[in-house]
Amino acid sequence: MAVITVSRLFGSGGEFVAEILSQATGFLLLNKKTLHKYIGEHDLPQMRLDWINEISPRSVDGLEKERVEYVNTLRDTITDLSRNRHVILLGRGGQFLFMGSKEAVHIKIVASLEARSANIQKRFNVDKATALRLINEKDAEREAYTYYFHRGDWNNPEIYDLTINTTRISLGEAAELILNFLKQRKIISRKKFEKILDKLEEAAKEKEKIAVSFERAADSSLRGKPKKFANKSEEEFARILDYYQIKYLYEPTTFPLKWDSEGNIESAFTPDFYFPDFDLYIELTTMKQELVTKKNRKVRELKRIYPDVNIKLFYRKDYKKLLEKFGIDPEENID
Amino acid sequence: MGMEQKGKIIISEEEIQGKVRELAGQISKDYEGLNPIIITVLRGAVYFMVDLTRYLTIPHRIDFLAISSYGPAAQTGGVRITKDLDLDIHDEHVLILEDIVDTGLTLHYLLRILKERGPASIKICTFLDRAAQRIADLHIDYRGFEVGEAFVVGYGLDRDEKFRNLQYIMAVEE
Repeated sequence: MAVITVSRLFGSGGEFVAEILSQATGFLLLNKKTLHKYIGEHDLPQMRLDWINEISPRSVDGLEKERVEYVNTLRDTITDLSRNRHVILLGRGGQFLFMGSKEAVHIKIVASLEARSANIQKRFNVDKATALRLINEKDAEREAYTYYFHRGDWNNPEIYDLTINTTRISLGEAAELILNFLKQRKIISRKKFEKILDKLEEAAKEKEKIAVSFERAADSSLRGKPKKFANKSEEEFARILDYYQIKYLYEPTTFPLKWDSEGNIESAFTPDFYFPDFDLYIELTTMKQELVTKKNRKVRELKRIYPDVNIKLFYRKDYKKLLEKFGIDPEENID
Repeated sequence: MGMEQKGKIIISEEEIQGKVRELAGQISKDYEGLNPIIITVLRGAVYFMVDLTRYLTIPHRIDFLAISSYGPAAQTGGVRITKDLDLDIHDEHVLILEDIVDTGLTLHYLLRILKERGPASIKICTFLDRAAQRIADLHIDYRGFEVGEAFVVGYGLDRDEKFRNLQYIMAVEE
């Protein structure tokens, strides 16, 4: 059966096009999540599973055997899965894995840099500079991935059967173009086509909303905005700020920090306080010092991705000093 | 209670006097012909003010100001002036003296209040600066010494009202 490979520039919406197609046709979608599951059954070491996230190793020395094994496992697994059903393979260098295969159709989704930047800004609630930086980073990661694992140049237009530019074509229209192409290739029968088209419209409506909505893109657990303060320390700190008539907002911004190969937010950070007058974020880390390593890492990552954001960490000892200065017993007010 | 607190001298008396003279020289130069009002925030900065003004070579006036501090018994109404200035600072050149600026919360409030009174200019001079703990974005015009995380006493700075009269700055053991 057919393997439909979908390559996409970061921010072009390619992953949504693949999802719309999968929902409408019922074809099995192979993306990071599902591949993890299927390849996971092959009992490979953890490192190889990480490669599925389209990340090539930093140092390739001594990994040649593993590289070949990974590529073969990937190809074998997908071939197995496509034995009795059509599959849609998102990314992972599918155009190289199944290059020249009669069963395969290679599609690439592109968009102008301007359009991709606008999509990323809307989807992740970031400014233009950050969006452009992310696009550069992700494109470079994917280029490195296809080059390292498949020795191929994903920018070569000749390796794709169909290239769609979503700058002025909606995600639904893009999926419909692919659907028509699959009909011509007889991967989809004329009889089923109309039915699938109805489903496609429905799926497109839903995905197009998600594609531009930060609220939906971010995992709800990462964005839970408590109306109340999370702990006594934050509450006391807020009282001090109120006392000195300092304007602040509590947890107003969530900064996405890590995206997976599908552009889902894997990790985000919401600093506790924002001071609009000073353009400063403050994070109170009143946990025990040994527990703050994870938070430190997140703050470092935040500074790397958003170099223009001012953020300061108040450690337990800093906060303790602040309370002591005001004659407050820190032991009763830190948690 | 005696002066039994253990600690390490981090700024000696000689260093302090040298620095205060240096600051006074700079201020005398900058305020030449301006007859500034030197405002001291009670109580810690009194020691600094006395030494600094003795080295000034220009005419100036002094005044004092105190504001309430947040604390366990703090009133819910927020910060307020507990001792106001006696002088009118409208159209005057004002220099605020502080013993230490850390979060900057107090000073931020103070600046807002004083600016409303329409001074010709307003600048800040602090003996110690703990910038690592800053929250309020303040411009410090004159600075004696940068200090790190350690709790410091002496030269006006106290711990439970003790050690203000030390002639040096000591980092106390916690």
